[in-house]
Amino acid sequence: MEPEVLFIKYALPCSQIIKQWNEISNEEFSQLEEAAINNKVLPKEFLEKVFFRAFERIKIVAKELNKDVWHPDVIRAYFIDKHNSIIDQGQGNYALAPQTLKNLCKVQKARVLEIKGDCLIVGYGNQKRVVLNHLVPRAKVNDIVTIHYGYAIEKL
Amino acid sequence: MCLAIPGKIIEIKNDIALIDYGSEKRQAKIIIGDFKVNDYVIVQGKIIIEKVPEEQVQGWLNLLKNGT
Repeated sequence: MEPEVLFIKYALPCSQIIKQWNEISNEEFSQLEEAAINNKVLPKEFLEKVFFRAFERIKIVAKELNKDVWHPDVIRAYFIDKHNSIIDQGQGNYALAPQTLKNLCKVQKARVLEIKGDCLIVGYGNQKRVVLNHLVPRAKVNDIVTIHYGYAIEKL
Repeated sequence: MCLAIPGKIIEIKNDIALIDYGSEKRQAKIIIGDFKVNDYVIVQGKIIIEKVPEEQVQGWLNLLKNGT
């Protein structure tokens, strides 16, 4: 998977919030959504501009790992590790976010328990949630997937 | 189109809820969880994915209207 595709799959839920803030147009949002679902490569410059907040933090992770900002290891380390602690610490806009929103915004590793249409019922810890399978259409019961807001993102 | 804001359930018939967003009403499906009329919920792809405690709704709306 190209790093631009990996990135937009993880960042798709954030796009909804960014659109709500009118930082991107409906058309730009549709481009991002389509790229995430159909594995399309969008220009790095475009993604860095739209998700400037994330890239400020991704640069720090890249430095720590001594790798390029667009290396898949860096992108995964950011979303699967860093992203959650940034939310817990209430950095940036998360300072104003209610707890339920913070919980949904965190990326979790979860097991697929059941499949219902295009929904996956997943479990992690003692939590059970339903997410869409649009980004991982071939997910099966017992697969471990990362989840972010209302989406399963990738199979681990 | 997708709405990242909480909406209020005003009707439930079997596993389909009617949700009021103020400016519009939309249907969404309940896959898991117990929901009641007057609950605030978040919908993704026409599926209810989370309940939002009423005391958190205003903070959620404020964040989505303003941000920085």
